Amino acid sequence: MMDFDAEKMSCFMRERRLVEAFDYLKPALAEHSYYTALMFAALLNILAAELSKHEENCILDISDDWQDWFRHFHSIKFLVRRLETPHLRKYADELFVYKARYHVSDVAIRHIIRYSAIRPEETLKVYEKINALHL
Amino acid sequence: MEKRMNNQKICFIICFNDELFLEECCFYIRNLHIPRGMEIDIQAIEGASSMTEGYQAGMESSDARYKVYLHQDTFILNRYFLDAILDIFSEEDIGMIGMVGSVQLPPDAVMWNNAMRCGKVRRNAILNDFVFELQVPVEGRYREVQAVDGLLMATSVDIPWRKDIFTGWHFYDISQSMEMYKHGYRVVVPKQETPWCLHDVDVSSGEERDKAYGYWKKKFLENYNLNEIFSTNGPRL
Repeated sequence: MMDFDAEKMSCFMRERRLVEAFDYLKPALAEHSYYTALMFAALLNILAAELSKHEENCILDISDDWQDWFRHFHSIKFLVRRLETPHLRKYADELFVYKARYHVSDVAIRHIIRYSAIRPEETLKVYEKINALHL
Repeated sequence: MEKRMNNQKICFIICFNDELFLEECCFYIRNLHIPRGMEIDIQAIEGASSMTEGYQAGMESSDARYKVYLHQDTFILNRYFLDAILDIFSEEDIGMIGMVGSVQLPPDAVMWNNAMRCGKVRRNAILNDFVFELQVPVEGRYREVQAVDGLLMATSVDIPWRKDIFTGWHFYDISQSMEMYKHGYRVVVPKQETPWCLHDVDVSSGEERDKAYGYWKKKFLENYNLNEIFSTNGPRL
């Protein structure tokens, strides 16, 4: 398993250097432990949201109910897919509602699509990782 | 008594365990163009003990002549998908259509282990969402293949699924392709300008999954002799 440098990651997030953060995670995605890599990716999204919660351009709001958060995660992904499908574009308006409600940036949406294989059952593991990092 | 089939009906059969995905899969189906004179039906099967068991149950409970078996995470992007498959099925000896298939399976029957594949699928892979075009080009309206991938399998004839052998979630697709040929039908992959389907697949392997896959591969090879099946049938190379 890759060595996960928590300090490096939190530096990326504090400085809002999310593209670099994801590039840093990329090697982990090639590892056998697929879910470990994805957990870190999801962790990044969540931590970035925590850090930016009170900022004007926060990435993604977090609800207390982790399951509910991931349900919206998938809904956002589905809506972006519809936007990409010509005859279904008219059914993607709700995406803009989510963007406004959850302050989801275009960057976050792209990463949500990219790392959308996180399943709700992984949320507990992600929560444990957050606690372990004490951030 | 033989079941009377409705030639004007297409039934979508989906084994599911995630309602969010099922709902989205059905959304794409409901927005397909329905050819004149045809009707569609959707059978969503929850709690199946295996893919073959679920598909067999779906097959038996529908009088639709045409059936489309698909994964809950397969979304049909081509609005004229039904028109296209009915056009191909006008050739009565074509029994099954898939989106991705193997023109010649390798000896271990794993179509990903050689370069003899054709078709297109859009995937949501872990790093990128990309269009996945395989090496063998499809010329004409379709290309005959030995087997198709189970992400989507459309049929014009009911052939029993081998739930007596395949009681898991692997190799049901390769098996069914063999059963088609054994019953005298051809299996094809259509020519797709752009992918007709998106497969929102979790590409994780993991030890448990690899073990299961290896077990069912062994089962397949114990029950099917590729040389025997394709000595007189199948695609010409």
